[in-house]
Amino acid sequence: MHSVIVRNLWKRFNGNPILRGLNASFEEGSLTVITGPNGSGKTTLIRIVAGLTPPSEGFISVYGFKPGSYKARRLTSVILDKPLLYEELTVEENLELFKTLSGSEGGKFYEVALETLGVTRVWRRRVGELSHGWRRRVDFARSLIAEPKLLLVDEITTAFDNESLREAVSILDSLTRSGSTVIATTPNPGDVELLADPVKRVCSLRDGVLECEAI
Amino acid sequence: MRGHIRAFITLILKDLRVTARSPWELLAILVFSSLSAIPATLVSVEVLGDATKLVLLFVAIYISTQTYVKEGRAGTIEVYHLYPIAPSVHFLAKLSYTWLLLLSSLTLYTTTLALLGVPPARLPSLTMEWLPLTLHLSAASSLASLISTYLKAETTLLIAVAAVMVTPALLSKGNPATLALLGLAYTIVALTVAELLED
Repeated sequence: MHSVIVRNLWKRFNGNPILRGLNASFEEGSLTVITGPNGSGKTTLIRIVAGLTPPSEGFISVYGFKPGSYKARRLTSVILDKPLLYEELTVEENLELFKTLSGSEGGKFYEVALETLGVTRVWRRRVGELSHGWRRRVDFARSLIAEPKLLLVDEITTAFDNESLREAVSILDSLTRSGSTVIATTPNPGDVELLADPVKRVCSLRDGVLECEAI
Repeated sequence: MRGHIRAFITLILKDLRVTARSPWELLAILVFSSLSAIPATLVSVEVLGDATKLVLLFVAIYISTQTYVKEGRAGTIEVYHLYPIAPSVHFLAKLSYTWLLLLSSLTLYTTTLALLGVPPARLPSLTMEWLPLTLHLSAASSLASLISTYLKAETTLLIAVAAVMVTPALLSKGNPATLALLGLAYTIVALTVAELLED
């Protein structure tokens, strides 16, 4: 079954097309990596599927729902380049806040992320005091709280060192095996090797056109 | 329903914690409230009512734009678009938070007035006139904030919408009941808009 369906998707900024009639389907339980140079529209695509940016034209469905709708938001989690965390709050307060907002107590993937990425070590520290790398780890844990059916990760390799990236990818692997769909982006095609086994498909976004191949 | 109540309390606590941990912003509101009472003691009691409206208006606009701009800059405004938070819960949490800060501001303002010699016998009735205004301003600024957040608009729109909504309060020659009713009307409008946004 397809979790995300994109048909004839166009996005223009000030008349300039960034995405040109994209067509793609993403299978349930798959991890797809989208590569492409900076400015190719990867982040725009992620934001459109997340419901943060409206498309100029085209059709998108997230498990049969319109992106950004209340029902789609219950199924989707997003990691953007800028961590979605309150700097004035501690890590614990942030994660408790997002547990309440997502109506979840956190699941096994969240617990694993806390342990393996060492988030519990900075539990009582304010997010504003953390380095970008630590914020990214906390943000990764945040994204797993509700065990999302669809996880969108922008710039997956950014701010992760090799070891924590391996841990993160291992968690994503378990998540896809449980039936969730993961769509991640990276500007560097070489990063796909770092992501290794769980990646089922690599798509290349160039000049607003998406080309995918299974691996 | 229980989830909505938990989200409502969580959002208020989040805003209060963030404010308490940005001491300079909180201090700016409190110092402004206290200092603006000084010139207010120099005017007649009739003019005092209008002067107070302006003080509360400035504080309300400062609170709503500050939280909106801050969340916009930090990127956390996306939380309202990415998490299944009912817009009505978001609105009521913002209204309560703004009202709490406005009440704190009003308390400090009236305390300073009392200390500076405004007849204590006049203060309770004046405060009863100003309380509905705080509700009115909180509702208007929270509605403006809600519209700006969900339309993903710029801060200028927020200020423009808020300005239009608070104008009746500034022009009215003080029937507190009317102001309170107008605040209630904005709340009902906001909750109706919120229902539409949820669909």
